[in-house]
Amino acid sequence: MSQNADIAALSFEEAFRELEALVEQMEAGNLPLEETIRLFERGSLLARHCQDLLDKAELKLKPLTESPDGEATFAPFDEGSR
Amino acid sequence: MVQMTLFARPFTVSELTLHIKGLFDEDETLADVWVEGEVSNLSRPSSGHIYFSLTDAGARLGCVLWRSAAARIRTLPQNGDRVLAHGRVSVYEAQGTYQLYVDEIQPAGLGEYYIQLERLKQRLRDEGLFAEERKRPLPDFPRHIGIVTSPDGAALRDILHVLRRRFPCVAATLAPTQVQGADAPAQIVAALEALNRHTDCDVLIVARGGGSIEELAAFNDEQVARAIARSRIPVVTGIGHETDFTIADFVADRRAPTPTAAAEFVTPDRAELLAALEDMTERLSRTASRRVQDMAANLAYVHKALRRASPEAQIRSHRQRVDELTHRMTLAARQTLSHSKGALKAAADRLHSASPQATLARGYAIVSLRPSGRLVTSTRHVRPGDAIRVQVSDGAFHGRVAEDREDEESKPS
Repeated sequence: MSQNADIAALSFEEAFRELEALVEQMEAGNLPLEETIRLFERGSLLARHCQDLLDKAELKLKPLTESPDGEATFAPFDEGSR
Repeated sequence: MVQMTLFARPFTVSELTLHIKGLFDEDETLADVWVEGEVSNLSRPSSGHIYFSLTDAGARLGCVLWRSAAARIRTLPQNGDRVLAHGRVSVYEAQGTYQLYVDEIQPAGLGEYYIQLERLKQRLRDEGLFAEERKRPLPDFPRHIGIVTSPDGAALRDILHVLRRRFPCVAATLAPTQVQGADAPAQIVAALEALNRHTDCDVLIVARGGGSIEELAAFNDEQVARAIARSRIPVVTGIGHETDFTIADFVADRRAPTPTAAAEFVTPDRAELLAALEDMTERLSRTASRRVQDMAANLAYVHKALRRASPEAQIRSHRQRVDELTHRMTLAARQTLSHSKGALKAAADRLHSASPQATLARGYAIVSLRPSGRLVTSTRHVRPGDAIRVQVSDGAFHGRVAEDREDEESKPS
């Protein structure tokens, strides 16, 4: 399981692309049983991660303003208060 | 006087009117025309359609503004207004008149602005800024979306609503700007540059809700157009309503008709993604279970092969071979034995036929003296009282020689 600990940090695209590649790899080749089980486990977790990102993620919104010296600054932003 | 040609059928009024209408409708100028004039005779019956005339010193043009088109127009004309009307000219058959079917109407003072705008558009097009090959693809799965719009507008609300609904795992950075007024173009340019310089956004949305041509002016600004063209991050515009086209739209990598549509263009469809994920999960488990089944079948096969190759099996096989050899050996021995028996019997038969036994069987006897065993072949060999052994075909018996003697030669005649 520990080798799948990285999944939580993957972006949707990374997880989705890896899942696509993994499914194709599994469908294409006669992989050894151990590898099959490892990929199945990882694929299931990748799919779950993608679903969680679609179902549970909170849109992260921050405002960007540029100060006169050309540096960008981020200020807290609350849509509701505007 | 004109003579009607024989056989030529006269037109009906409808046919002739239709023919004239066809001439109008084929004409490219009449299909897409701006006309400037003064509004008069304006009426708005309960149908909601608006009828008026445009006049100048020398002529009069009947105009219709359908209710649906009127709903999109901000400032409806009044009698006496000088306006610039856009539409197509066609024939109204029932009245036998031609008229302008208006789809856009602006105060006439804007005439000069429109001309400038057209010139700018032409210049930028000539520079290649609108070229199809400049358009970059949008990311399938954006990670970070930059939004250039007013923090107070409905456009931002609409965009955020779509992002939450379709692809909430995205990060969004708002570069707040004014979207109309004198400062708007410079702010929009600065926002585009700041997003390019300071963020890792993979797509930008430039948005504004609907408005009049004056209100959308910032998006027809040359500097804004150039800033969009310069952006290394692909830009999607969602400005105004469906019918509004601004120069920013032409320069952008993709033009969306509204802010909502712009947000939809930059995000994948959630329902499709969920369906794709379900499909992949299904394929994953199907492949895995088939693989496991295959492996189980292989295992059974290998196990069988292994059992065949095991020492136990070899011993069994050797034992079987020993059994087989033993059997064959026994058979061979038995055969040899019976052969020998046969030969022995034959030899014995031959021996037998040469032995005295056969003679004895015919009634002869072998007489020997006891205990010397000396054969008695002559009367002279015995004396009365001698112990003798008489051997016949099936055995022997003992006896004694009697007193009387019968010599061959002294046999009584």
